[in-house]
Amino acid sequence: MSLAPRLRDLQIAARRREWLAIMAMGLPWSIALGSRVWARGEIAIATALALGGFALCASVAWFRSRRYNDQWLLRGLDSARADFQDSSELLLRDKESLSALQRLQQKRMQRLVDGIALPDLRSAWPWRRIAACAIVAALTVLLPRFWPQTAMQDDVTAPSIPPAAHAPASTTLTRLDLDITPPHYTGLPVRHETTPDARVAEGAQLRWRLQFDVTPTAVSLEFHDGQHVALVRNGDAWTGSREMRESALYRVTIDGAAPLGNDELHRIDVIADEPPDVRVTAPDKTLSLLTTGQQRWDLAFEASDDYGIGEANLSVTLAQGSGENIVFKESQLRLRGEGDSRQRRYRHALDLAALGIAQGDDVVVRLAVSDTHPGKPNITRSASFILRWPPDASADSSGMDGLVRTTLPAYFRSQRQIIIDTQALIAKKSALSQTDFVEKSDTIGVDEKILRLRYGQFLGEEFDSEPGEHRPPGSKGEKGSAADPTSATHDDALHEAPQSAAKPFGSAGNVLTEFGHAHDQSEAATLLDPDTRRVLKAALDQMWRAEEQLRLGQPAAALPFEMKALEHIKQVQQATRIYLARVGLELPPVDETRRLSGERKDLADRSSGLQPLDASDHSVADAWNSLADGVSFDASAFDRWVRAHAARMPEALGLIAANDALLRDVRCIDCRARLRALLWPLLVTPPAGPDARVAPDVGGGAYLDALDESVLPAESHR
Amino acid sequence: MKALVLIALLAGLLFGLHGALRQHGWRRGAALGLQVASVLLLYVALFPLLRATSGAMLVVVTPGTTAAQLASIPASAQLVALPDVAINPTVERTPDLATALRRYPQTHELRVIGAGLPPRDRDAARAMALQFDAPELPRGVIERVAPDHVVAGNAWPIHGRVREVPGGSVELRDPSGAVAASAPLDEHGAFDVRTIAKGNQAQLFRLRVLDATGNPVEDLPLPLYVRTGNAARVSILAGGVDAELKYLRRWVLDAGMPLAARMALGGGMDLNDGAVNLGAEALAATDLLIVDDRAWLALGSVEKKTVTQAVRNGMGLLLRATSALPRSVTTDWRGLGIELQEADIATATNMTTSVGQSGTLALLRLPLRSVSANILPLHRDDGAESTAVWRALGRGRVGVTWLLDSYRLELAGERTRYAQWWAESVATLARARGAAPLDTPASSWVGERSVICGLEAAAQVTSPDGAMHELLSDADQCAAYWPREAGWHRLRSGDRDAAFYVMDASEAPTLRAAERANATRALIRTETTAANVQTALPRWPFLLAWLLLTVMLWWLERQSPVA
Repeated sequence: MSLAPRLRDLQIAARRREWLAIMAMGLPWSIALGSRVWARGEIAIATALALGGFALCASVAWFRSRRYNDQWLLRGLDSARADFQDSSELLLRDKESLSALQRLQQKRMQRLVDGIALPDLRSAWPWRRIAACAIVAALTVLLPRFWPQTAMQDDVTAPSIPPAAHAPASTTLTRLDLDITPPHYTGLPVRHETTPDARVAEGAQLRWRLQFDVTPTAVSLEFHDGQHVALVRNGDAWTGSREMRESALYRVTIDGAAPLGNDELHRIDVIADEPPDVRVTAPDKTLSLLTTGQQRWDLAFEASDDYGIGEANLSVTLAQGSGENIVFKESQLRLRGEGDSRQRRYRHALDLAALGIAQGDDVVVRLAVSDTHPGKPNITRSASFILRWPPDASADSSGMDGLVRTTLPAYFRSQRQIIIDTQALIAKKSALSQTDFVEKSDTIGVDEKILRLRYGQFLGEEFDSEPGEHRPPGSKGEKGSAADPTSATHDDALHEAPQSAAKPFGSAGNVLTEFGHAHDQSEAATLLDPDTRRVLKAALDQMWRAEEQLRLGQPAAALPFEMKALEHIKQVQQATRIYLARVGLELPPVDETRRLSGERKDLADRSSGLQPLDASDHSVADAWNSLADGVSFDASAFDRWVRAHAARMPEALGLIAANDALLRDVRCIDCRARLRALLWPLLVTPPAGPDARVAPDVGGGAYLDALDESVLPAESHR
Repeated sequence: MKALVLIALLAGLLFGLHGALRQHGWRRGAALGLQVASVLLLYVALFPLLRATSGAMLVVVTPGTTAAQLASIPASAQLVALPDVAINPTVERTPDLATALRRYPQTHELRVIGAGLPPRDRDAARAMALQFDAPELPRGVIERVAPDHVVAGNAWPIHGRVREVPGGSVELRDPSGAVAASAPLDEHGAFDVRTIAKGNQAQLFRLRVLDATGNPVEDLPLPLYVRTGNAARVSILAGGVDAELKYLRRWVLDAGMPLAARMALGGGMDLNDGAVNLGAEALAATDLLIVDDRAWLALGSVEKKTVTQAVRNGMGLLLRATSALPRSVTTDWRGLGIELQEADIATATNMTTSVGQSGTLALLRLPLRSVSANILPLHRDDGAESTAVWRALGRGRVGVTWLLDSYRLELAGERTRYAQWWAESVATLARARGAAPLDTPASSWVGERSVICGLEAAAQVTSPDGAMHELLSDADQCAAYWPREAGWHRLRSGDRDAAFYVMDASEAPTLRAAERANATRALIRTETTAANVQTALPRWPFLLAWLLLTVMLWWLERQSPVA
């Protein structure tokens, strides 16, 4: 006999309750398990696990609910209601197998079951267990997210995994060909590289050819200076080209496919075309003097360049004249060298006569060598080399401006030599005829005059006759032209010029000296300090007197004056220096109204206004420090700083590349170390500061105090 | 404890005797005797008897022991092996020496074979007589002395010794891997390299040893912690302006120190940087006062007294002799404990300029020499003649220099050297304000005990992984730390901090061996204070005897007819 439908409902309700309760406890666990695995990126496994957990819960629940069988139902009914009189089992029995009494009871039971509200036999909801399961499962899911430090530690400190490791989600560059075509003039061969980094000559044409394992819709090269090169599809390869003028960093970017696995910056280093190197082998010094009889000036140069040497131009400048009246003649000579295109030797013999060099002229040569760079060739110029035909001694003073000369130059027969000559003449007087004697005496007088005039130049006097010019003794003009022993100014010489007009017509070389009156250079007049000047004047005076006697043919009478002149000249030479003042200390004018008055108004202490060192830019030091832990480093701010200061930094590209790696992956420890290594040379060594001395503790302080009391008094008694 | 046990035993004895007295005949006598004997035996078992022994020698096998060394040990000797000993597994292992000494309490002498005792076991060995034959050290760096911290801008000197690399050289590599300095090894293998510290905080240099052909022999880390300088408050008083003051003031400002200067211009006018105040309170807030002889001459007697008192209270005073000293100045300075006399020496003096290079520059000094006792040189020229001296006066220090033109170092391009000269002067003389440094280990390895001293407050070590470890310091303000990770560790104690570098266990093996050998050699002692060791008799025979007697007593009492 089967159960009455009402009782069956009772059993089903209990079973359902049990099933639901178990599912409520088990489901959070399977969801938690699934989501943990999901968080690691393994979606399929996560789904499988969640479904498996669900199935496991369901089967457990089914097994558990099977316990609610008929026996359970009858026991539950018996225990729930006393009026069942423990007879509910009879409801399941067949009538035939029962005794009469049992049948009677069965009938009663059926009436009872039909007539009453049946008790609720479902077990209570296990709210506590369900809540506990849900909470623990939720914690399992959420806790790792809010556990940044230790739970994620492994990921932070582990060296960055190359992005290629996440293989399925990225595209791989399967093949990269880089054809480098250097500019034609370099003569370098076309190169082929399979690495993305290269060192190329300036102006080289680069052609990229890329292949990927997945075909993207667009590929371009992005350069760090903002330029793009869009690559063109050609079969399964992508090609594009660019001419490189400056070093650059670039990255391959693709569209229409998963991002590139390895998308670090690549580097193209451009080797700039160096200007040629010029060496001068002859002459061996920048200033050479013309030797007598020299007709040619031999020049030899060597030039070398990294790619090829172009033109070599020799510029020859002839400087004629002296003082302010200098005329330049410039000419260009194109030289042909010998040797290969990278290293050439140039020889040239300059024909001096054809150039028209005269005494006092300078020839200045300079070689300019250019390379074969098209458009804007690099030009290197050698130093200037001068060939000088030493000018007449008289023109020498113009070169002395601003110099300090240690001694007077000895140009001619010295005063000592004149004394020696005079003494020799006196000794030979008996052997000579009177005319010879007077003539020789006169010659010595001329020497004396030349010497006098020469020294007179230093006093700003005029030089009025050619050396060796012979005039009759006692000539008025000559005497007047010489330094006047009393005034030593040149006022007397005003009348001198017309006297030397006996030159051939047309020799207008020195019109000024002939017709004008050249007051001597003011700087020559300031040559000597007043004391030296006075002594020199006295010397000239003595020389003039000696000359007079010599011209009169009385060398014996001249000798004392000569001796005196020598003595004075020695004194002048002992004056250690001759100052050629050109620039002076320009002090503000003295306020004569306040001078020596004792007036102290407006005088006050001053502040020195010393400014502390400006050390506002700490970017390098800050970056260096913050990279040590890597947490506080702001890679984007540093990137801006490097780009702003790239011109000052030789390794800016390296810094940008290393920083870019950090921008892309903050956790990359190797990138951090690389950037730090690049920053190290940029760190500035500060001025050394003092270390802090350790303050003495109680014992140390007491010791010092005791030392002060005991030692110092003992010393002070000494 | 012992007294309580004794009372309990006596009580037990009385109870037992009372029971024994109820026996009769021979049983009574036997029970009494057994009771007394069993109590005695129990006491001896609980508190074993001590016996004076002559002690025994324990052979400690340390890592690095060779089979030959082990073979030379007589078979009768008691051996224990420390952890990490690679050979002969039959030798008894012990986790550390202290455990071994507890196992063999009669030990009074240790014989250490192998490379030496690790730091962990040195304290345990201190009370013992110890024999140790230091082994031959391997090839490589066996000594390395380098300050672990330097103020930025100063020279960082590193010297040490390398074994068995004839004709070799060392290279100091900076954190970027470039060679910062290099030096050849002398005939003893010693080297001396130096570089200028820059940047700040923790830096890791490397020291590379190259052999004669330039091949690397060893590469070991060389940690450096760079600090910023002490911002000493410097005041300058000068009787006139000169070039020295110009560059000195420039340096003071550039090195980040607060500057106050007053330089007389004549006619009662001064050139000022800030305000120099010679009041007692202002001087108490000054760390170093630099006064030249002309300014000293112009000071009043009250001011001189105030300055002297300020020095006694801790201020530093640097006197600059710039010309022949007037008698009154000499007398005043003698009162400060500094006596200078004219000496027959050249006024030109040579000074080594470049760091790491051998450049010299001729500078000028006054022909003076310090003749006072209790004085220390502050600077010397290349001929070891002092150009500046100092002495302590109360809590402070007084120095005097008669070098006239140190600024010419700067003019000659030796800016660093100039700054170092003055930094050294200021560091020596200025008021002591620094906190005592934490005494961090000079070299430590992963897994090895390192000792940190000078801990006045609770201290924590932060290891490279960011974990914080509290240190337990003992009465000597020292604490031990076992690093588990290589790298920079930060130490913090109160408001002081420091950093130390821990090497990987595989790094600098030669240095480690040398350090072990040296430390163990320092423990060698022939005699021990406890020549006669009291050793306890074993307990088990007494316990066994007590058990026997007790069983006999029990049997006796069970046999006896109940009264």
